[in-house]
Amino acid sequence: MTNLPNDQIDPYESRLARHVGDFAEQAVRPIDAAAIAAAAHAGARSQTLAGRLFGSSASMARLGVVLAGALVAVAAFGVIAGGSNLGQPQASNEPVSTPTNVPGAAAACAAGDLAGVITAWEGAAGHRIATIDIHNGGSGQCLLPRSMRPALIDADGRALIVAAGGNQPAPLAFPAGSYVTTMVDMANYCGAEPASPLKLRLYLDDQSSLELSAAANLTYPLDPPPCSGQNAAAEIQIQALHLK
Amino acid sequence: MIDDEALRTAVARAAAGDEVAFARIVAAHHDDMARVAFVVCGDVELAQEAVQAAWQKAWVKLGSIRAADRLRPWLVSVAANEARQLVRSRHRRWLRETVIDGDAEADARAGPDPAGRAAELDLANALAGLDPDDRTLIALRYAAGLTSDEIGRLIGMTGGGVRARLARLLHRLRKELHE
Repeated sequence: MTNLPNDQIDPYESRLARHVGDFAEQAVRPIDAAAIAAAAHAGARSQTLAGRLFGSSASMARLGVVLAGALVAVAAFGVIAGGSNLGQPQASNEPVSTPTNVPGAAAACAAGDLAGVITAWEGAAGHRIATIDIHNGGSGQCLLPRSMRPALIDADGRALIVAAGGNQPAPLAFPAGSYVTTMVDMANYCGAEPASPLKLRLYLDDQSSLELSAAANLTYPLDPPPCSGQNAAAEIQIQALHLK
Repeated sequence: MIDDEALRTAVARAAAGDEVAFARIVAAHHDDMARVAFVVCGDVELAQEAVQAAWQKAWVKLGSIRAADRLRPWLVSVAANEARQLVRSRHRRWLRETVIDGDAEADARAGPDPAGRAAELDLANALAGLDPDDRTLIALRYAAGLTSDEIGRLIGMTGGGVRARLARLLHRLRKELHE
């Protein structure tokens, strides 16, 4: 939400500012600041010559992202290849890095490779706290945002509460076949009676999403968090994911 | 939110090539830039693309920012310019998806009152009728909250000129929004 500056032009400004502020809010998405910084850095390096040759900085930004991925892939290949010329030992006083882990070498997790369930749904002081598990069913390790934007949805896919966009720390390396877990905290839903059963939706960086239903062994229904006040905002927050 | 002193330090380090410091600036300002870019271009994905391009420019030119309090206005104006260029380069009309049913997130955002959705669509249509330069002014003023003098410095106009142009835009939008 934006505060109007104090050099008012017209009394109508405050109303328009509210409209525009609310309207613009939909552009806010969860981000990975470290990845954006890395892409900007890589893109800026490539732009020094190529940007002049190939056009807009927007297209160069995309090129930067591609180059960043390619550089990481080449680095990973070099580490794996080991004995190639790229891997020739060099005289150095620097400590030699151990070629066991190359953060970023994996691609971002695709929603289609992930499956999740709600394993618990507990109530406390006007809140509902869901415990969730997510499984990487893909063929390889991928990078998962440690904090995915959550939404509480009803059986028809209608969003009851959606988290505002927020910053994410560095992604989590998510090995194939493994599980991550975390908790989602919700409060103050004052809308209409939702269609059961409720589910959770988690958004990946590319705005694809996965939906989580109650695990088969959860015998009780998932109810929305109770209304604590019409004037207060509904809330939904997710804690950082960690490997099980 | 990053405080002023930490921001000054982050800017100095980022300008020297510190990627971690740059990421702190990204975390502090990305959302504001996305809001501004969206008001200019009317498309969430295009807005995110514009902001990524703006960060690339910021990486190169951050060292030119001498005062920390100039950083935010500068960043949002770079994002606005990138969004404007993207719209123009693709010959795109400023267009929102006006899905009446089934847009669950929009429903949730607007709340149970359908008037909220209607007001959002009215504003979207009103903005769609503006020139990209005018949408940039609206975005810098009402999405980023910049003063007319700050906007003037960024776009090469006087503060008075900005106020006069905004006054005309306010009159037009008020009429179109029936307010």
